[in-house]
Amino acid sequence: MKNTSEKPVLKAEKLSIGYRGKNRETCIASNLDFSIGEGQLVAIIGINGSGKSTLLKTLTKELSPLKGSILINGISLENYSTKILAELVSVVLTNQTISKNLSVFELVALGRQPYTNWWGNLSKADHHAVNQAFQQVELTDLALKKCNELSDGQLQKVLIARALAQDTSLIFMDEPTTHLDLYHKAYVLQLLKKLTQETKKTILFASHEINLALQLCDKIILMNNSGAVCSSPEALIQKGKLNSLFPLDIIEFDEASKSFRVKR
Amino acid sequence: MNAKLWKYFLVGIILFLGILLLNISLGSVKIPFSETLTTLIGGDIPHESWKYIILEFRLPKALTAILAGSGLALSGLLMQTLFRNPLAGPYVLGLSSGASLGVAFLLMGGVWLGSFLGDDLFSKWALIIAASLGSLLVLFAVLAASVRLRDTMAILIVGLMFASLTGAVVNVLSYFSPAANLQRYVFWSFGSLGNLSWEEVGLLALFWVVGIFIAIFCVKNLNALLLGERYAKSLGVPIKTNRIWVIIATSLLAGSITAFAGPIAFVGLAVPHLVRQVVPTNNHLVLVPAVLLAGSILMLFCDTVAQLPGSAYVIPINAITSIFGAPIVIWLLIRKKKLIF
Repeated sequence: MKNTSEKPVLKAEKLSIGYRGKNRETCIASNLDFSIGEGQLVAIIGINGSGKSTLLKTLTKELSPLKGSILINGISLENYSTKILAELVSVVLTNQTISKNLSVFELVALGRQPYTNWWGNLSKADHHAVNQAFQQVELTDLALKKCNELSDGQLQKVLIARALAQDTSLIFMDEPTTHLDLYHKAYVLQLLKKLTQETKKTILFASHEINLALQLCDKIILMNNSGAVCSSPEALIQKGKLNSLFPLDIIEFDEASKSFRVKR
Repeated sequence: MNAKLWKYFLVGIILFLGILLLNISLGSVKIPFSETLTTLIGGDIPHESWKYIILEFRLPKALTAILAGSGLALSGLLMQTLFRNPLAGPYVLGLSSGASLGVAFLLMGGVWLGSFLGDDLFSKWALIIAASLGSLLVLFAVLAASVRLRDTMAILIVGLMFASLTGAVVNVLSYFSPAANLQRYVFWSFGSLGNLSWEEVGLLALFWVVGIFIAIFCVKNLNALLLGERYAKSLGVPIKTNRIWVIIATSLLAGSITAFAGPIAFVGLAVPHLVRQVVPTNNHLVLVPAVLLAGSILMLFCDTVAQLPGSAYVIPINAITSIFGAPIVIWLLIRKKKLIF
């Protein structure tokens, strides 16, 4: 088996994240250290308000770190311009006001923007990349539909295809499975797993689907009050870290079934 | 797909030329169609007065209609994409009222400017710049509010509030200003596409061209904005710079048009939606020319109706655009259940 940890694509060192106000900083999480290799599927889990979305915003340079540093391919995130970052990092977000009048093809093709000329004309290579993205998420038959005709699950696949068309080595996703039923949640995560294996892209996603993430991810970043733990799902279970995730009054982690159970 | 688009544009251009000819050949003075045509292509006709009416009155008016219709429609499209709000438009967001405020300050408050205003051309420049600054001011205010609010309905409400605020300031100004100045303002606010000399049409066209150029350079970024600002940023769009350019383009267009033609409602809101009903794409590279064409057609049509063919009466253009525009928007809402941008 290949050791992927020797070449970290994404690395965080002593990272503190939060918001900078005019007079004071609001720190949401601190002491985050993790290192993620090529082709890994990584879930960020944590209780509401633990800083999952803030971490993603910091990783995409929407927020700057309060302390510490983020390295992408060994270079500090600060040194990347927005333009260059667009060829390295793509995102899949939730709850955005996306124009529902876009056709599915147009939406996915927008992923090619970092590569197109000033008026956004698609070259042959761009068409190829878009078609490939469609095939990777098995969407080809939807290309001519408008976005307002799609179900939530289909729209999520389209947004993932858009990120794939952007052809970046890193993809960050904010709760890619919200609003989906259990089947589609598993479907999307399975798809992500397949994509990391086939394309060697690294996918990092924030999620509340702990049970599914434990089964599918290569690594888990667990965020709690004292900072973050980053390791493989097996190691997390063995060390009993998962019980530090939630207050223990209602649910607890059951190691035998590898899932959370309601306390009896 | 592309062949289909060209077909739409061809139909649009034919429609445009047809309504343009109709617009020029109709008016309070009856001029035979053949004579109109001869004059337009540079030929001589026996009636010198007819020639004068066509070249010095009807042609500049038609051009003003084209500039105003296309410019307002484009600024509506820009606003809808920038705010990602299907109900945005220069009138709804208070840009026209901002321009009115600028004009009101100039016409009624500008006593100290009196000596300069004697110069005719300067006063035209002053009018257009005051109106553009007025809409720029309101647009920045709405934008500042939108950054804090993030709720699309709230942005519209802020726009409405600014509209009534500027309306109130205009009222105060008119209360204190002498009757002659007040009259000038009131006539201006009725809105009119006529009465513009070739010089003024040229000045309007200058602002129009600058506005359109800026908008065309923003096309790619506007397409990215259809996904929302966070996605656009992840695609490498310089959000803030782009926002400022779009706002400048919109203010120049809406401001200059309002300065010369008065506040005109509904064209900016309705035309982009009408275009979206027909054109099967949301790419601004197609939408921008389509909206320009459709805006011109609609405005020429409204102006043709406004001059009540065969009579000496001219209805204010603002009334006509509202009479046609409001039902169109309501019809779209009812048919589609929900307006999408």
